[in-house]
Amino acid sequence: MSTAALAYTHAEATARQTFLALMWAFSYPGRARCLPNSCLDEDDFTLIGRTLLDLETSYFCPDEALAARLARCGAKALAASAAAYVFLPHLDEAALALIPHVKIGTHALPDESATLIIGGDFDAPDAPECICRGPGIEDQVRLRIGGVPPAFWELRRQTICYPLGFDVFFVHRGRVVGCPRTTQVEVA
Amino acid sequence: MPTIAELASPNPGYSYAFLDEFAKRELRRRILKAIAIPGYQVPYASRELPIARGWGTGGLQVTLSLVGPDDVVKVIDQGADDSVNAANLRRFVARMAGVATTTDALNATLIQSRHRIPEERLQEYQTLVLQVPDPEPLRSVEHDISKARLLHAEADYGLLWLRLYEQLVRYRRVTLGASYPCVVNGRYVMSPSPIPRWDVPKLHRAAHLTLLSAGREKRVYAVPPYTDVRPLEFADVPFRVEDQRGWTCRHTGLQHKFMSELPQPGGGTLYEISDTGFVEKVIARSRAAEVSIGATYYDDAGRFYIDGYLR
Repeated sequence: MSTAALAYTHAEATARQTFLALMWAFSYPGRARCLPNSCLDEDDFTLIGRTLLDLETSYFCPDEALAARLARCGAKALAASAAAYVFLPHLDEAALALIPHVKIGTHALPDESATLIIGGDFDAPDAPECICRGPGIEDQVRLRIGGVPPAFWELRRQTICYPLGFDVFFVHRGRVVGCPRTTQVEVA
Repeated sequence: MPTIAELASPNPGYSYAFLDEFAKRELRRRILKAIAIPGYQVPYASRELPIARGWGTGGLQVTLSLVGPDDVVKVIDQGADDSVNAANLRRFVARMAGVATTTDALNATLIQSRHRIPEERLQEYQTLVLQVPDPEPLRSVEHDISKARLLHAEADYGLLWLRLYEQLVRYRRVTLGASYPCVVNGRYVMSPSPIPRWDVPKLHRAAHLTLLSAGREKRVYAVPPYTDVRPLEFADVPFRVEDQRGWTCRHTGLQHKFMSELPQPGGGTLYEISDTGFVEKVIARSRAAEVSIGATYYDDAGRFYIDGYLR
């Protein structure tokens, strides 16, 4: 049992650091965490996919190129209404239409619900301001995410009936912000 | 004759931090869901480890799925860094992940604990991993776990309230000691693991992340930072922590920290603070060493740091 034999490989380090970024993003919603640099020059979505996906789970992605990269993780490609991980690089009208149909779990198994990975713009001063409260937030956090229309927040509010609901990671240029179902979001 | 050390040659087949990539990925997915649904028990595929189930395998698997070379790990057992269980788990984690270890709660990035929360207030981005022998708070009132799951689903905790009431009627006080059931984020009742009642308030709106894992029962659950954790209590019979007023630590002379009782052969009892890492720092400071001691959850007068939480 020698530590010399236990190589902390780049792949291992990338997976761990990506997971830690996601874990802290959920632990402190609204605070941006940095994703690690991937040696494979992967985009943020692929990096997160490679950290979370394998043949035990499933995904949905409307972007064909990204879906092809995610398919290499071995996960099943399913419809948005059945997938455990839903990757939405752009929150356009078609993507918004999927939101009410993603898995929200059951009262017996609320963890059987979807996690959404959504592309946003954290450097958009003109984006509507969101005030977040809930677990992980000491008082409140103010957040502006470009590319996420107010309609999304309204759909989220209508869909989540705690403990049923879905959890969201917003990603933008190597950063991630968590928004679990427990976070109450008020669009100012 | 060859020694055991010679026979047990280093095995290059071990993954970093012992768990294979597949196991880590599964547990990491479950941890994210546990944080998203505070207090809800998320099932996971608990793996075999080179220690027996019931000796901290749940906590150990969570620690191994988080740990990396940049971490500083502290492992405690009933507050002690030097007990057999803690020493062996710490050595295992250090060997398998090549991490630094410490006895100082404030220096640690990752604290694995059996049945105690340190006396010093943990900070943001610290992770406390609690080993859990029995994650089901309803087990004493509902032996069928499928039915217990249904009760959680319906947020039906009437049987637990009834149990507390029966204790009050029979003994004029709540006799629950460790594993005192608490409501997390106003929804799920969870077992905080067999920490003493003294430690239960420390989970309420804590700055750090707490992950609780039961290896034998294959369940992981979480208390995210700044989350409400309320022990079950009646409006007219408030929750009480252990009454240790007048107890003085034989090493430090301090009061109002959680103490272990040491019965003496000739009768009488001595007391010592259960958190040995904290005692170590207090003693070092008394010898004029430069030691940074953080704010504690209970002050020197025994007041909890959040006003009004303990009535």
